[in-house]
Amino acid sequence: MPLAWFLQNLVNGLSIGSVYAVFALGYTLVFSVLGILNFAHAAVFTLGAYLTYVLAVGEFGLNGLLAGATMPFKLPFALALLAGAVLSGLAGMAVEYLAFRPLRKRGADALLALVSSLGVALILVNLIQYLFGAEIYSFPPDVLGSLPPAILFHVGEGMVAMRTIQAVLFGVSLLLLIGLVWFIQFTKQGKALRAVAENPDTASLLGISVDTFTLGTFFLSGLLGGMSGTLIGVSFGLSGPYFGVAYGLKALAVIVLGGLGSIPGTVLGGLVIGLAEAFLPPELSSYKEAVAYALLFAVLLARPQGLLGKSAEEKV
Amino acid sequence: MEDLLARYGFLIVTILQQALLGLSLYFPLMTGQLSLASIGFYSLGGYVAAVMGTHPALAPLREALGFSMYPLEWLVALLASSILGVVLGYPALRLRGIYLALATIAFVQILGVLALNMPITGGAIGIFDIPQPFESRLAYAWFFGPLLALTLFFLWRLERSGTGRLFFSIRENELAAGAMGVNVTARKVQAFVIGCALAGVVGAMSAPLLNTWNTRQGTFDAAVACLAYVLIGGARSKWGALLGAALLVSLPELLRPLKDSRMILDGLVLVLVCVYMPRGIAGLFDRRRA
Amino acid sequence: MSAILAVESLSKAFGGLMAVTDVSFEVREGEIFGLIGPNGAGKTTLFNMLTGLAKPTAGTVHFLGQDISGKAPAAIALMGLARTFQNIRLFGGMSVLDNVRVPRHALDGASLWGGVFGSASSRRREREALAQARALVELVGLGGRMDTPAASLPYGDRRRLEIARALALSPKVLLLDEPAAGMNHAEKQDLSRFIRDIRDRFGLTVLLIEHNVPMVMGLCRSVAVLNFGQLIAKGEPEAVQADPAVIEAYLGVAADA
Repeated sequence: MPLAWFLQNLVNGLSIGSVYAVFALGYTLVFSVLGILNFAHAAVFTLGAYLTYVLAVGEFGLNGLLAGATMPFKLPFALALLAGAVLSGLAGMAVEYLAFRPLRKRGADALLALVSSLGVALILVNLIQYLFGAEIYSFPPDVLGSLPPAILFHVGEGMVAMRTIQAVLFGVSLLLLIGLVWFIQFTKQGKALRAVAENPDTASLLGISVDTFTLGTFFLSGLLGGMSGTLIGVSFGLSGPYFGVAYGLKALAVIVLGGLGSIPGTVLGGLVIGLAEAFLPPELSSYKEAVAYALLFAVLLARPQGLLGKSAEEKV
Repeated sequence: MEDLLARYGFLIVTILQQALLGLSLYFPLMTGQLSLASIGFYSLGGYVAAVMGTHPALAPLREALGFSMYPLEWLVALLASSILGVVLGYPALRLRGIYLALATIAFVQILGVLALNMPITGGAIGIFDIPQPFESRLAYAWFFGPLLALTLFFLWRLERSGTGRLFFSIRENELAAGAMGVNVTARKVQAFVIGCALAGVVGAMSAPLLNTWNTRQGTFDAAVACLAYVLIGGARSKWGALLGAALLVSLPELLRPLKDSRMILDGLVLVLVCVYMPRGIAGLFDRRRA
Repeated sequence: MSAILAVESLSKAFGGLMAVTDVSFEVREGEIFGLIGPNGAGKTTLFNMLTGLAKPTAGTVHFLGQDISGKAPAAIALMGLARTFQNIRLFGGMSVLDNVRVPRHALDGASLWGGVFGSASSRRREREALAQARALVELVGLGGRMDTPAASLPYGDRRRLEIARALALSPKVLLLDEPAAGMNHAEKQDLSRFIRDIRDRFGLTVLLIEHNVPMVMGLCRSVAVLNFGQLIAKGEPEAVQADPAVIEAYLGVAADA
């Protein structure tokens, strides 16, 4: 096995895998607090990418209701990324407020909440289509400023290329992961989040308002979703309002692989799927999109609680 | 009258077809299991019919059978869907609720990737010029109408049989059902496979109607729409899927300005029903449970 | 009389916590066996292990001479080990009659196609299931409420329905988890009579969890006492009642109250 080939795949796999992990953590946070899967998360991911595009590029394309409109200002990419993520966080809060809270108040079944979030996803994605059109949006090549498009490393006989965007993907994801771990381990709110994830009844004991706390979790989840949406969008382009659906489904495979509700498991799951896709032999490359789902099936068969999940016994 | 039928023919046939897809999700829901797999089996059934209807190697068979080729396609689609349903259902249904939804989503995605890559399914272009038995679209009601009647009869009998009661016991309390001797996994798989088989046949009937078949027949959106029919109509009644499909398919037709935003409407209705009307429309008529 | 149910060194740990530690006892055919102990002593966990709802961490359960530890709940139920639940678990949306019909259908292996197309053997089995379920609903005194959804029954009736549903499995051993919870003195006496009555009528062996000491002492020929997951005494009620460990752990508290 040539070393350069191995390193190249490692770079590709780690950079995309780290974004999968960040995106999937948005599902995990909500799942660990509420015990439900928020299907609208993929739509928030898409929304984040579109918002950042508009803030950084200032244009709206040609087919949607907003065709031809321009923004009065353009933000530098880093600022647009941040603003897009914050707006996505707010969208996440709106999802909680409109689709989840009323059901929780009634003590409704978790599957009903899942369906309700599917409804929200349908609304958001088609709203984006209505406003922005179904065409492809790609970030202009100079969006990252004057950085070179790739850095080449010589390894023995061969060469490893690290695209600048891959470095950005990996760097931003790593920063987000470190930030999240710091938040959960060392802040008061983070510790509360862990306590509630362990046992929802402790929330009231700790004197936390469950509603505010849940809103905060959805904000964080939306922030991660919007940020990863932008990163993927910059890297591969926005192939239309549905581009988030495929990634959203893949992220579901990530969290099942890692173990539902486990944060380290999610990170591991993201990296495993990213690497598995990268190391797929070239003659099978057209099956790349099926890798994540094949892994999901393998896990369901062999270890349904996921790589790092705990198997739970139901209380009678 | 003729004019009206011509204009609304497609609408009527679409309602019948979509109601059947909704009903295919009702079967697993009888055991309390949420599946999104129907659209995958619909897609599979469609490919079976498309291949059998167009593949040159089968030309002699088509000539020999004539119209009987169509029922043969349904039968093959039914068998293929049932076998795949068992293979998919057993691992996924050993686990609790959420895993089935996830496994079925993954299944639909894998099927889509396979269809894109296999020569026999025509890749991204798909299969076109599928033979059509009827001139008018309304005539396809001769396919979907009897199937719907048969399905409703089947359900009516099933709900009054021991098997139906075992299905419902799992929905009501899975743990107690197991403790009362109900083989929970086997019964869930049974209900799931009936749904898969139905969706496969509906797909096989739809391929001639649409004339072409490709991967766009099996999208995630379409899967969610099927779910919307059942839930909006009422997940606890077999009439729910019919009511839901009739409402969601005809609403954008009746309110022309809304036509472009049909999926937004679907989503909105889905959220509103979950929040305000969890029993669906059929629940409004169900006085016994009120 | 031989042991119909034999529990050997049974243990269950949740995480690091021992819920049941090294419990052994035997239940002889035809007796009414009482399992007592304070709240949280591990009685329900023990029941869950007997019925397959919880996997033992160690130890075995023999029922009719067969090792059933690790078997699925449905398989154990079909062998003839039926139970009720402390926090009632009926099929809430189904009628009283249908609740009792479910175990009958599970026993006769309800065929899908036979049921839908009305084959002769399916129709015969449906008729039998209906007749047996009707008789059991009558037996527990709910004959007038056959078509009522189980969830809308009053509390006491729901407990009775659970017993009828368990009896529909034609069990050899019936496990009752606190059947007298929430009953007054007269109702408890009625229940004691009822339990003896069904034991004789169906040739049952009964294992029951109960808090009410006088009721257990009146009803049971053998008792076992659990405290903090450990078996601290077993034997005839009078001997157990006099055991100092039992007095301290449980009966002493009850006597003070």
